[in-house]
Amino acid sequence: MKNQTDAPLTPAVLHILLALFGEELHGYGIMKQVERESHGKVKMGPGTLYGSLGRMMEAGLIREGDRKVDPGMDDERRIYYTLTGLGRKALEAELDRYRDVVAVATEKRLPSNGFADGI
Amino acid sequence: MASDRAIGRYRRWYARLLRLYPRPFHERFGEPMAQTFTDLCRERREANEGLLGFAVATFAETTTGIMRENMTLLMESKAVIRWVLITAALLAIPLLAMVLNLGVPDPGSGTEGVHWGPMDFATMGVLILGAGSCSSTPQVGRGTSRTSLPSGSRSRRGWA
Repeated sequence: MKNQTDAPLTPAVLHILLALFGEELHGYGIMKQVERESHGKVKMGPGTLYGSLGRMMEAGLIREGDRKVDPGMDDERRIYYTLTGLGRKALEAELDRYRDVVAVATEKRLPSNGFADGI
Repeated sequence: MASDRAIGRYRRWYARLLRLYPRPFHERFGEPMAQTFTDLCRERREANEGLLGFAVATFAETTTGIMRENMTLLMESKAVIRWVLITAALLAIPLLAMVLNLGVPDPGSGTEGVHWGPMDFATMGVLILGAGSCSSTPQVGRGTSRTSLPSGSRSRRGWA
């Protein structure tokens, strides 16, 4: 049986794990971090974000942290989410997969700036 | 520029929409989702952008999420799958009889054999499935743990 961390991640889950790497964030914070890290290319709505968070929590990739006030925002208390050890391993496994793909592409001398030049 | 009052109104509508999520999901994420929605509204206001288009798009995106979560819950209920299989098996009997031209005399039409139309199959299917879902209602959502979430689809196609 395959290890759980071997399962491929969906793009939404990958971006959420990346956003949570090294810091805990609340829902809105995750959205903004994903947007920043993807240079505005990935924008998640609340439905996608919290649906993914629910499944990730159930899978043990992340966990709910403390409920606290974000000093940079209003005075509402927010739930923060944190990466777990399993989440970190799943992220590392996914990044290894991406590195392998890039290595194959490099080996085949595929252009890095697209395929518009006749390939 | 949108006022706090307008944002509050949109948040109330959004909170109502969130009630359509399965209960365990709503209890866990209802408040954070409404909070995030408010944060996004404030962000739009600070950027001097209108709220209506954003609200419509977010409501549509969330509606998709609601349908997905409800479908996940429904599909993961073993009772529902069992009743779908039972219904299919029962409906296969008259279908096979028709295909193989088997059957008993039909006093209604005076002809021999089984002659079911699409409506007969549909009616029987609805009746069997309806009876099955009524008998298994406690396992299809309302009776599930309030704290548990519908389980993810990782076993079928990876995480989330």
